[in-house]
Amino acid sequence: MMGLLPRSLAGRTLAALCVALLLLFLAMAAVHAVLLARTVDKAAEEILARQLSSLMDSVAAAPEWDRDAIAHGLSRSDLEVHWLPANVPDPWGNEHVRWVPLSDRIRDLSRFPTAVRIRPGTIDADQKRILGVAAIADFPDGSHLLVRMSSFNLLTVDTAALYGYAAATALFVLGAAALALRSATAPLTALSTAVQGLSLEEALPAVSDHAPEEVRTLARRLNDMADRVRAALRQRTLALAALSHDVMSPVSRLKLRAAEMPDGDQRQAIQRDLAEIETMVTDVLAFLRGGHESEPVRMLHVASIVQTLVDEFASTGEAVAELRMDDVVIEGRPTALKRAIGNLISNAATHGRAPWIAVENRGSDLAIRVGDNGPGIPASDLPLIMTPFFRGDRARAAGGGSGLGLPIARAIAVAHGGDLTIESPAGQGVVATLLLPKKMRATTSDTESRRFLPRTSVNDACTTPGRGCCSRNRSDGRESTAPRGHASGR
Amino acid sequence: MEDDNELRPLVLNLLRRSGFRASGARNGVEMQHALQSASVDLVVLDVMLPGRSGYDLCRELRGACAVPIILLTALADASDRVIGLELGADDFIVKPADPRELLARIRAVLRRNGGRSQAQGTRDVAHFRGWQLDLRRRELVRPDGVVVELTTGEFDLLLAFVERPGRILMREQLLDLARHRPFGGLERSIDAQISRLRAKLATNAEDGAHLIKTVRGIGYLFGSTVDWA
Repeated sequence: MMGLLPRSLAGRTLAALCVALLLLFLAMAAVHAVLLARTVDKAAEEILARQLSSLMDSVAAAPEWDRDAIAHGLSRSDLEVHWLPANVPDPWGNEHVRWVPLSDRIRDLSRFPTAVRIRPGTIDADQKRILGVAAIADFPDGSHLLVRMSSFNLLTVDTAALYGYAAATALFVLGAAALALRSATAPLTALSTAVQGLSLEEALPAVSDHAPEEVRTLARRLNDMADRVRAALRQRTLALAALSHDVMSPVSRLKLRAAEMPDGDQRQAIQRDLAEIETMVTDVLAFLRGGHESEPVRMLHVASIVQTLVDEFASTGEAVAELRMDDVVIEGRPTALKRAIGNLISNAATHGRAPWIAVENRGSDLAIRVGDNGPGIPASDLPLIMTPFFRGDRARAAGGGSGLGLPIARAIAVAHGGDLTIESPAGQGVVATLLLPKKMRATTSDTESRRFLPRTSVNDACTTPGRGCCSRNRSDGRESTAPRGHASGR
Repeated sequence: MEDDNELRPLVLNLLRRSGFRASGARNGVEMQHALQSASVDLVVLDVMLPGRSGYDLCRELRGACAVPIILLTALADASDRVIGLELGADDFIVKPADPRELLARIRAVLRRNGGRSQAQGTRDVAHFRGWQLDLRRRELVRPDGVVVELTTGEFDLLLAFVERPGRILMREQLLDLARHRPFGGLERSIDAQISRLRAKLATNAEDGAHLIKTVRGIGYLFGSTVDWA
């Protein structure tokens, strides 16, 4: 039953209105039919009464010798009038009077008859007439008048016009209701659409002044809530950014101290650990930036970026196979894209076997596909893989990685108007597809001005001013001369 | 110059061990002292300083003399890099800098600067056949304005060619050049890097081969004139 209920506000209201109007219409039709029947009866009675009484008056007022002639003179094709001087046997049996109100009314109208007997006849509903009405009037002198009416037309009403009018009224009401609903729900729908596509960084677009007060209030409240959420998030972000920053200073010093250590396994292990810390902190900062590097958009030769990354990985001993390398130029932010692609290659090299990469021209888009021949991602992990800080069991066991590589890569792709998808068909490793439009869409530059992490405000959260803390909260935009292990959730 | 009292001696140590004569300064005043007391070949400047921004010092320094400057900063994004380079810095290194990278960048800037004084004038952007090689941004731009990404090894190779147009460069010379790089030099042969570089320089098939010509048995030759701006 509930399943039949329309889901939308307008649908529900209009459905309720339809049902109500239909019931009203039926009730009106029924009442109308009853009233009409009564009116028709009354009118038929009155007209018959007047017709019969005038016939009786005409005949009874004449002298006795003339009455038969007058009666015959009054007859027409559908009307027989006979004067009978003597008693007549009762033609309709014992029941003398069948239509009491009619005979009463005739006696009111005519002073001659002492009694009137009526045979009601039969109603022909289709033709709206009464067939075979007959009346016998008894006069005081013992004579009688017999009237037979073969057919008597009843009053008719054009019910089609009435029902049509009622239906038109109903439609008009429904239309007006639909319009009113639309003016109420359109701003609501617009609001919910606006909220749906909104990232937390963006303010809610202004609600039209024509919107109902309730909708405007709702929009205001939503904005207030978003403000509170933003403030809470910003607080945490700033704390995280400040911490990440401050960690970089001791890491800097440790790197230099490590360089002073004698060559050996110990030094290399320390340097590896430091590189790992650096990667994690860099990843956190890149993630907090949400893929919006404030670097200018340039025309980029994608294959050269990919080849450069492959060469950099090769120099650290990770061979990545280059498959298709289409010669494609796109608009983009070089450092950000390099980071995104680097993260994907790093994942494939760290978690898979025989990593490969391909650059494919796809009409208005460009696809960069990075794959491997490794164990793949368990199906249960696949939906979680873009979640920040998520790392699969295997990745955790392998150690390293911030769990941010894929979220960063996706954020960068989205900031370019593209997207990142990860597939892992059973037994075929993992394929990451970075889809980027060749022409960057306009929205990305809009959001850039409302970046989540304001450039200037990180100072407030700095814990040790002047020591490694600085007025910047950006992560490094350097062109990494060495690939760092951007590992992510596997 | 570096304001962190622990980091500064570490950097100085590193530089001295690597054969540089280095002196440290905690702020702009001390840096002026150091600049006046000895002839300085290169300044490594921490951008994030108490009091005055390293950017201000960088602008001031650039206005006063032609000493090469490498900016050193904690975290920075690409726009910081652009600001720094536009203020006249020669290179930009992000902390925590890898010691080997720091040394390599210092050597690269010094080498470049050596060439600059000979050529009488700034040598920031090389133009050849419509291509641009921006030394400070370490960026190669195609004639149609498209940025072509190079590895550090490829960049240094191309730079070596661009600085010596029309001269034959021997394989050993190129190897020597690559040896100063922390990464990417030795693992891949010079020939492999050359062929990759040719491919990246090719807007059509034979273009790249024309620019970097093979001199059989000896080495390679850059086959285009170079304008500096």
